[in-house]
Amino acid sequence: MPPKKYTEEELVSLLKLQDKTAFSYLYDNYSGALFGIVLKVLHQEEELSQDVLQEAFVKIWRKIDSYDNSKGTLFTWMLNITRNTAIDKLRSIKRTSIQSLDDNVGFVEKQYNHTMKEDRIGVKDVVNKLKPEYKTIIDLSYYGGYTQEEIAEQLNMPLGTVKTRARAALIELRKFIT
Amino acid sequence: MDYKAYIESGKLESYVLGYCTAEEMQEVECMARIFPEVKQELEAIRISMEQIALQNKVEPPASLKDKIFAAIEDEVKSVENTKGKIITMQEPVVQKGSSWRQLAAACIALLLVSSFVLYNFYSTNNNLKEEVAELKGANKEMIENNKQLSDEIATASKQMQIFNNPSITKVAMKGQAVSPNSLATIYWDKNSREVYLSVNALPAPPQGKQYQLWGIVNGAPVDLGVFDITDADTIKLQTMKQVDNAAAFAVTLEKVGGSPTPTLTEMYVMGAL
Repeated sequence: MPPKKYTEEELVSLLKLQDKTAFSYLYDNYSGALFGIVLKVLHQEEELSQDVLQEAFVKIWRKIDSYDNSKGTLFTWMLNITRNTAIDKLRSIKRTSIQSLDDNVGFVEKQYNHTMKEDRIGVKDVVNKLKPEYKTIIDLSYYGGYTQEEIAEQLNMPLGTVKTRARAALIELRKFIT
Repeated sequence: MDYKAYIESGKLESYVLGYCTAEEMQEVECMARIFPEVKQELEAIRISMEQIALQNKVEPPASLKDKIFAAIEDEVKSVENTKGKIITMQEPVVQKGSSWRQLAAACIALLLVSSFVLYNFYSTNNNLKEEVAELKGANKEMIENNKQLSDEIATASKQMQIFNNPSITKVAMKGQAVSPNSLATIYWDKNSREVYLSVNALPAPPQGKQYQLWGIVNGAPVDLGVFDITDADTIKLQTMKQVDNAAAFAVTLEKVGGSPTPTLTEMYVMGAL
């Protein structure tokens, strides 16, 4: 298949017309990034993550009419759908296995060590470059779906500190990227 | 609000990290529309999250693409089968729910306020109506009193005129044998010939009888009219028939409507000039 280039506008228009070629292009260009997020939310559970990615793409297909480009890029819109689908799955698993947040924090710490291995196999996660206290906030909120109140309660710190750290973490992340 | 303080509040991060409520999301989107700086900051955070996702990408197994396209194919078929039935429920429901609640709460608040205001108007209106009715009654009473006083003043001033008139001759008619304690007074204007009668003391006439005034002119009685006994407490002059050259006045008790000639045995009072 010869590689095709679309502008985001063209892509959105074609997707709204349920154009399968455009959807194929979308998949080829973004499935990797979306799958990375799903894996991170679901603690690298490969099979589960594949199911969730499928669910997310079906939702993207189904909801493309409600995408509003004034509220952000198509990519961010897809990121949010995918992340929310993964977090919903994470929550439903937690409800059935009655896994507490404490275990999750433990898991996140284990994952930190695990990432060292990932780095060796070429996966670079800028989140891991953050100070541990910032990383924990990003992991629990962005990849864990916890509210700031829940994080403050579980980490036993004031809500204000959680908010400050979330902002500081994102400012730091921006430095790494640019 | 200062947009810098807003940027530093951490709300934009909450928005991007996905832990804010539907209302907070609307707020952030609203602020981004108003302040270009907020929009820029939000864009920067978004771009960084996109960059992180791109840097952390993991290609899914090649077989997954076919699986996903098969799922979408199924989706297309099920949409065609249930055309017109597909409604994306979940997200709008949450927003509608909250706006519905807000609207309902606003409605209830408005209803309470308007009922209270209406009740106030209603009771104030009722009070005012009562006051108006009271004032109307009082006013009517005052008008009646006023009329009565005016009448009395008119009568009194007319009597004053008569008393002060120098051409008036006053004749006191004294009680006769039938009723020695009776008394009446004649005010006679010789110029205008007017005769006024004031009853000082006369017994109430029996049923079927009426008092009659006579003037004695040239030795003969002349009828000057019948009269009733008015309230003894008020001095009231009754206007009688006119007469010339009267030498005396007398009152007899006659049948109702009077007699052509006086019944001399029933003479109550008499006075000569």
